[in-house]
Amino acid sequence: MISQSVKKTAAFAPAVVLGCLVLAAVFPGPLAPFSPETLDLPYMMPNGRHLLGTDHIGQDLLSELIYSARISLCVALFASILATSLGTLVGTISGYFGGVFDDWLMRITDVFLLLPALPLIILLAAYMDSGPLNIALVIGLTAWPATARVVRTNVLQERGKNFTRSARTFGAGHFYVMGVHILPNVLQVVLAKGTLAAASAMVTEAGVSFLGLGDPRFKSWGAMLHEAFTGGGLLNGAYGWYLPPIFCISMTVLCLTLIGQRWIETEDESSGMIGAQGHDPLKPLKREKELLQVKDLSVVFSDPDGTLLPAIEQVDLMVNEGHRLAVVGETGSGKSVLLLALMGLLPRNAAVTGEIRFKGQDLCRLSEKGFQGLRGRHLAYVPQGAGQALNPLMRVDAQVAEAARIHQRLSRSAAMDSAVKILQQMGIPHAATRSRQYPHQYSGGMIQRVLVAMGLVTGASLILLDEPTKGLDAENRDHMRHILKGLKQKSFVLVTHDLPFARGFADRITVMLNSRMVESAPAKDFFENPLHPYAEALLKAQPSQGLKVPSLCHARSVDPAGCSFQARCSKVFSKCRRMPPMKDMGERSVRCWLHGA
Amino acid sequence: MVLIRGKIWRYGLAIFFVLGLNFLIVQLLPGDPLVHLVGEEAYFHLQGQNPRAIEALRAKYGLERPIHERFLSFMANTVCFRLGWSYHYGQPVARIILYRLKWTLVLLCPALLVSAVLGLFLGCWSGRPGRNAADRIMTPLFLMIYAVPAYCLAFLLLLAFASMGGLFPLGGMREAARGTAMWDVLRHMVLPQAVLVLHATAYLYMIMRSTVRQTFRENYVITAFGKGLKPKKVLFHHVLLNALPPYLAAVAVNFGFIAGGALLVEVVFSWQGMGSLMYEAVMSRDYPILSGCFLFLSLSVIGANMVADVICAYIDPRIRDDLAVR
Repeated sequence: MISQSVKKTAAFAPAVVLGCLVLAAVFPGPLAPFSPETLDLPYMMPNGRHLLGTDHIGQDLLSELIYSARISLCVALFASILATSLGTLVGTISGYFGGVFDDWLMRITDVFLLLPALPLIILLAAYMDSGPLNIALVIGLTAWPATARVVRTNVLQERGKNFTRSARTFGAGHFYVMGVHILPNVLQVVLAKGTLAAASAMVTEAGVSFLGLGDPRFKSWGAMLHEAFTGGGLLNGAYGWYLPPIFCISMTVLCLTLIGQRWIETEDESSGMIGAQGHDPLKPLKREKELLQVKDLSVVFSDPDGTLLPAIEQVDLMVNEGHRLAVVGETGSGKSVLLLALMGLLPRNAAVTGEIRFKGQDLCRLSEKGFQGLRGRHLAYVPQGAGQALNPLMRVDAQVAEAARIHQRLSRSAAMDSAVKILQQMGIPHAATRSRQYPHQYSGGMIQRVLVAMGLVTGASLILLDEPTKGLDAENRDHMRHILKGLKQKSFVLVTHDLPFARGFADRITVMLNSRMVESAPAKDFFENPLHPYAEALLKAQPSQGLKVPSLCHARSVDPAGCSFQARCSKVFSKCRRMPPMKDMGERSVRCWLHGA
Repeated sequence: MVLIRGKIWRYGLAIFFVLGLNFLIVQLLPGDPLVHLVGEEAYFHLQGQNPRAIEALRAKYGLERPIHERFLSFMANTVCFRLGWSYHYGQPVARIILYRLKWTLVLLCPALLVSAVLGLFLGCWSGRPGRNAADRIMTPLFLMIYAVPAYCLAFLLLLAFASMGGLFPLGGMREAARGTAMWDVLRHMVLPQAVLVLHATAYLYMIMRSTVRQTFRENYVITAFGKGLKPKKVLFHHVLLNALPPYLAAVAVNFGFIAGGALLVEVVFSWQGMGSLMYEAVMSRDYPILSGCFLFLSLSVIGANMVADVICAYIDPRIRDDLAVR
């Protein structure tokens, strides 16, 4: 807690330092001990009267430093505003209108991106009257392309969103949509880019002035360095001449960079980090009848602002050796999270409680190292094929072989051979040649089959499948079921929308609704007589429509304390306002007030 | 070379733009274009001594001819490497620049190479998720170095080593008495090299770190962990490889920035490369040299980007196929 509050305070430090600098720049008079016109002896070392000493004409260096802040900061500010507004304008137009606009604007942006800024600015500053305004102008005019590119990417994302499209259909003008719907959403990126642009403008201005291109009437920190350099400050040991401007420039750049990065890195730090958080090492695995036993498993994600989002609540599962369990439910019911929890691959902001016993080992307490010994060798995971599940830069056979080598200690070529073999089994046509291709040359269905092949090739005894039939046609689906069912000695946990596939494949079905289990039954009983009204509705719904159970009544809001299905249930009654317990009925169990309890 | 064809228009356009800019600056900025063509020093010298010569030069550069003719002859001259005459040095601009360019490359290339590799691995190592001591130590350190402009870093190093006595020479490229002995040049390179490597590494480290962090969000990373790969293997086989193309592209785009920083570092260490040349040209307002330097530097940035494109196409099969289709 203490470190949290320290962190929060520390976050403001750059802004405070920057604020002080700006204050000094705006009101140099009361702060500076001498006016710029006051002259003393030249080359004085730091002393009581001149805290930093004096320069070659006898000006007090501290006062000079304070007065120079104005020019340095003004140039940085002006250049950054110019670059950011120009970049935002180009990026927005380019991203919003697309097509020919986008083509040409991006071509121009690319060309500008290739211009080396500092030499160009030196060139222009040498030709023109090099007052601070001109320098800021030139910096601004060369610094916009990076902003334009980033803004364009963000605008493209915003444009695809529904509210933008609907605004257009209601007859809003282009500029209205851009100003009201798109710009506010990219504002954070624009601000971040603007802050970073100010930092680099500061560096550039200092560099140009250091070369002596600045107007001597408007001295900046860079110009002070120029004078120190040409005035022989180094030889005279006048550290007070060098170090303070260097310190000021670096400090400002550091503060601006920190602020800009904070704005850019908005996504919370914890997501994207994966791994198990237990501490137990991997013990020798026992052969048990219950291969996998999950008891009272809950997974809760915590947002950076402290809100807790339960993804799985009190789930119980059991998979015996050689058995096949299918977990079905709508999108967002927590099925995929369940598989990731079993693999120890959840993000760090997920808290796992309960018990997962796998071959006598409690996975909830297993360390990341322990999981590494388990994954692949004993537990295989077949992820969904969508969104780059395969490494785009690695050949397909190499990726499958990588999995094969983990378990079987094969030589490189032997692993490649077994990869080709299993790909052929999975129905990849011309596997010998096609396996040498890259994932982008594969169709979605083929990628799906490659992923399954990767899970099978490891030799794990329990295989977790996440929607393995997505994107497969009926023939390939049958083929896959045939192959998977042929592996008698392996056990499976299948997560799917595809009820017909589950029916043909699994021997037990578990239904999940809104992070909870609502029914669990042997497959045969389940498909003949589903007990829970939600399961009933599922069976009636068309799987081709993404398995969305139609909402029967929108008016009633879902009471979080009650049954999750009450708002859509046709058999709802007063008891449903409380959460029903999981009622054990021998072979099967159900969470519904209609069935006892 | 087939690989690059798809992007060649981009570079063609850039080169054309750079040439055009060079031409327009000379011709259109306020003042007599002749000043820009021969440099201030020579112009005022001639004006005082020999006004006739000025008229002759005006005719030679064709300043009376219409602008499109002047542009064409400018282009022809540039393509033939006739970049003008520096009165200050009494030599053709192209020859001076080529000599200086060599020394800049001697300084810049090793520094860039070393820091690209350092930035790649250090950034990769500390970009990996989880509790990570490398990240906690290196990131603030490099952020600090990153905030200090390269030439300021050079000053700091100079101050530090000046007090330490003659461990390393504080400026210049070689001692006259010793001639061009390799060893002597290397000794002079140590300090500027150290500054450039430190600064560029800090810069590239930041780029690589954020690239790696983004790559870790990709699904194939979960797939790789799911296979049971050790984190190091995931990091160096899957993540590093995928972070490499965006990293290289960023290195190439920032090449101009790094080279710009190197120019100023040269000035501080009085290293006789392009940076010092530009500094001297600024001081004497030797415009032909400045224009020539800008041209050369722009072309090298464009060249660096082409190299990066070729490497990316080599690494990424998608780019390769995409370009082959075009």
